[in-house]
Amino acid sequence: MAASTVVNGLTSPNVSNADAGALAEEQCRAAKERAAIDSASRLPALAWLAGATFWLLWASFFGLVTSIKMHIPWFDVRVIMELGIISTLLSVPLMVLIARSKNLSLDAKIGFCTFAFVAAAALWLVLRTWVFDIRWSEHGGAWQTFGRTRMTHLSLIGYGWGTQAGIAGILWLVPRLSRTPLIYPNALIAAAAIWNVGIFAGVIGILAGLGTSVEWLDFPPFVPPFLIVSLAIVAAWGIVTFTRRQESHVYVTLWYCFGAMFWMPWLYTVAVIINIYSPATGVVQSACNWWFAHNVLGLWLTPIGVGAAYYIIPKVIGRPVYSYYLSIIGFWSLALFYSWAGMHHLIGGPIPPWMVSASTVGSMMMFIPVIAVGVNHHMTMLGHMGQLRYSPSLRFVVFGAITYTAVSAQGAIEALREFSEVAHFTNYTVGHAHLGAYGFFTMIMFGVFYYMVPRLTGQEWASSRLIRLHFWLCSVGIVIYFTSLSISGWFEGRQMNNPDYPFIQKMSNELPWLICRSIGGAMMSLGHVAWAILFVLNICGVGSRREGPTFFREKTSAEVEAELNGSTATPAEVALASR
Amino acid sequence: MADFIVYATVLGSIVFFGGAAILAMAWSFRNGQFENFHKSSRSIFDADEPVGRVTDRFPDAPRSHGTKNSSSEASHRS
Ligand code: HEM
Ligand code: HEM
Repeated sequence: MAASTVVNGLTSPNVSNADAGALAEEQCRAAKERAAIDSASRLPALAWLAGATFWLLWASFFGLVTSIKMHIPWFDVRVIMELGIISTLLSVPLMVLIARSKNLSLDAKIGFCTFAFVAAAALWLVLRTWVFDIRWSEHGGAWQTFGRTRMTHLSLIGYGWGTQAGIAGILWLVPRLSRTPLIYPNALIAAAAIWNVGIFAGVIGILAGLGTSVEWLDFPPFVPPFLIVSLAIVAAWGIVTFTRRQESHVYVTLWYCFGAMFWMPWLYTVAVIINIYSPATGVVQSACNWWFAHNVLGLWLTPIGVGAAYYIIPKVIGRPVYSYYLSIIGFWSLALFYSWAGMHHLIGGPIPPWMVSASTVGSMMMFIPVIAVGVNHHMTMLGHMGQLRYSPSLRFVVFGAITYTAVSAQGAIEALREFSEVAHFTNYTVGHAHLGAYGFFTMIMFGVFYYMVPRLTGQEWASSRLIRLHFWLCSVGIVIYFTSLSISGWFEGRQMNNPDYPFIQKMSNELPWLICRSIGGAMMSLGHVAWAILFVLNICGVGSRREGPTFFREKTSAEVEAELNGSTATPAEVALASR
Repeated sequence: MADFIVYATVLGSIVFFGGAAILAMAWSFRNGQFENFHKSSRSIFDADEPVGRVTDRFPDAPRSHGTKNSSSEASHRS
């Protein structure tokens, strides 16, 4: 078949002259087509990704603050803010000097800049404590109480980071897989702007105390119209793109992306109506709330994450998915079973037991898609694990894909009544939530972006070391986070179920684990800073260009091959020479 | 009234989502999406990035890793 002959054509002597020429031409055409499609996606995808990265940093900040407040209740956020602002002011002049220096490598520059910042922070801490003797008159204010910072964290994670990261990925994946350049770029950029205005207003609203307290829909009532308009634009774009596709095969990733784009606007709009604008009353409201919160995870974030893995893994290692059949089964069973499972969040709550039972069954059925996806990804990777050392995207995506299986197996068990009796209302749930939203979704999205961004900007990543740092901080961070909360949560649940166990004792047992969580969370947050630095450097054009003289064109693989052989021949020459 | 809206939307959603899923599935059958899995799974590759081509590496990784396995895997079908 054509694909393998190309590679063989470069090495095997028995391909005819004309064949080699035609192949080289086809190769050029394919490379140009792909580059043209990528370049049409560039601005919209990067616009959404820039928003996502910005809010990721704030989400991590609020997560960390929330976490620290659980073991240092008098912790005052203003100290961090002051520290941040003053150390930035103190260290920026130094950083400019360092960045200008001609004889330092980029890694060294980043290292010195970091050092300058930390030194400035340390200096200010010493000055403010012992020299100026500054005290705050009171501890914080209502805006930085647990209730509001947690709401801010979750909203920023769900809408600031998660959704925007997902849309950025979709805007690159869908045109590529449909083989048609992205249309209406300006509408999509406008949608990103509307979205971010909404998020900004929402964060201010929550911190000002206007949050709705409906989990996953915490933004004040003036925010949803922004988000609905924006989602509607993206969905309309999706439908038009689907009708314009040039590729007749709808690849499994496309199924997931189109499914997600179709479900989310509808879900969100309905959820806002029945929870915020015309709220259902009493117990019914909690059912509506969790119908939405569950589906936003399972029919929005999950399909994007799983779908992206189905593209990145085969594409990076250059091997089709192990079983396309299984991948299709996985998609359709997710579509059919996932939306039943929402009530497993309310096990033991005052809703009709049959609703919970139906959801438990739905959760068990989820083993089908999960096992299908897990087996498939594993078998695709088998024999290629070595590539994990060389490909940053693969590392993140495989980490996420493995976690997907783990978190789903864990979730199905959590949906059993006996288990939930212990684990519900404890930190165990929070551990699961981060394993899913972070270990699975966020890690996969990082992997997608490590592949996507250089192909959009035509710019290589500035520093391998920083990528490695990002990976290790995030992966070790989430493992610490998850392990400590799972252990703590389980014992917490057992102790709470025992009426003879003193409640205060249970509380103090948790402390060391909560401190561990803050440590893990701080590592994750630092990893996000590393990612933000890499992203900004890439956008600013620091680092080596990806391609040769032609503006924005990917190397054809024949050129890469030529470079490997140390020559600078054109594809046609390579093809001829290989006869 | 509020309860009526809730039941209407929830039931409406079930009909809407379920109906859409069934229509989508019917479309895929008619359109032949379930027919040639071998080709579908290869639709993400092209002449320039064929099966067997490794397409990602750390920016400073030695070049040879990028394409190390290419020729041996081109013949490897799964
Ligand atoms: C089929 C697989 C899954 C099942 C059966 C499942 C099951 C559950 C259950 C039963 C809970 C409620 C626990 C409690 O409150 O006691 C829960 C919570 C949660 N799950 Fe999953 N889960 C699955 C996959 C995932 C994935 C893939 C993600 C990430 C995208 C995820 C993210 C979450 C989050 C964020 C929560 C907490 C919601 C909240 O309280 O705000 N889950 N899951
Ligand atoms: C992109 C990364 C992150 C994602 C996707 C994420 C996601 C989430 C989610 C879904 C929840 C709701 C959990 C639930 O209701 O059960 C949550 C809560 C929380 N997260 Fe994160 N998070 C992230 C990063 C962090 C970081 C870096 C920290 C720092 C320690 C953190 C600390 C917290 C805390 C303290 C809560 C509140 C838990 C509670 O209510 O007891 N998160 N996060």
